[in-house]
Amino acid sequence: MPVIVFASSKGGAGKSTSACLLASALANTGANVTVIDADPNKPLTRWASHAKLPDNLKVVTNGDESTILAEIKEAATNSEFVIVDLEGVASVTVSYAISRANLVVIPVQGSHLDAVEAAKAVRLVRNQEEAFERKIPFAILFTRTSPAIRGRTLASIEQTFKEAGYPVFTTQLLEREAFKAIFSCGKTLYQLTSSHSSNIEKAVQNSEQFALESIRIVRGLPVERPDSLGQGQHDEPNKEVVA
Amino acid sequence: MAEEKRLNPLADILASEVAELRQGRGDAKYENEDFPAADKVKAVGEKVGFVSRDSTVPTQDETQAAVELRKPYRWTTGRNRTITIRASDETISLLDEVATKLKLQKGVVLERALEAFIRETGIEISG
Repeated sequence: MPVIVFASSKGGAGKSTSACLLASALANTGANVTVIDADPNKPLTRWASHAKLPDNLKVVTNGDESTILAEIKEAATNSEFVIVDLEGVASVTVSYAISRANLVVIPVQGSHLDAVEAAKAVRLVRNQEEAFERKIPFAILFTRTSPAIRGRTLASIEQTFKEAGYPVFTTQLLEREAFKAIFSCGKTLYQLTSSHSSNIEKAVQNSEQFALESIRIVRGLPVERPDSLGQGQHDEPNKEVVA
Repeated sequence: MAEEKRLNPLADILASEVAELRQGRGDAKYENEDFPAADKVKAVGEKVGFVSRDSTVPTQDETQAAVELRKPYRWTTGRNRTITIRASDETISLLDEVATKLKLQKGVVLERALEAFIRETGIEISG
């Protein structure tokens, strides 16, 4: 079943948070999901050790680069979705994981530093596509974007990606307190209550928009604008965070 | 979790999409059999800077070669003996002057002086 890889050679781009959100959203539909934590800092392993995860969501820790392929294969055999959270460096582990991916998500914050590293990941994907004559779907995901302001830098990066022909998720993961509370409280987004964070409903919608778009890319379906999918998912600015 | 009543339409759409994808289980494009071999993947990655982070232990031969490369530089002339000769101040001064003008060590001046003396006198030297 599908292997979805989160890759960027820059640390702090939002790989672990977005991987965690996608895994939780998919598990919430009833699917069996395995997350492979291949970041040496083990953020998701730590999170899982504190969280009471649902039975259909499992986090396994990657040993090293020599074991990642076997771990992906085993997880793909036993789960309906495999999510791989990679380390924030340009390593052979990243190459291995991308070679098995049905979707490569490349998280980028609105900075040129992130954009440069994202371009490296795209280059690796395209080199593998060329070398192995295999289509590897990928898309840039903007993370921690401001709900109120669309800065010039972000606009410039978006334009650069567009000109380079990089596919970009229509959904952006906004800067949200609820996304931080997942790790500080040791819970999935669906286990958070108003005592942990405000605006949880909007955070869930934001996360599920991203998950839905990911699934459509994996299925080879056209990705529609989030606000054309029906009522209730339009992502309003997160005013509470702004305040 | 999945059985809970949904109030969020987006969650229903997502669940529907995931269910359709799950029903397609066994789709060839999700099988791992046709993926490229690890060594080929590694080679492609290394071309764009995605390299191994595993530490490697050098073999005995590599270690030995590295040690040999680090041998200190040493050049020898073969002139490693000392002799004491009684001579006049003038002779000693003359030897100093010739060595300085020719920019040669005194041992080399002695060697060349002896060669010239042998040539000049024509004496036979055994060995």
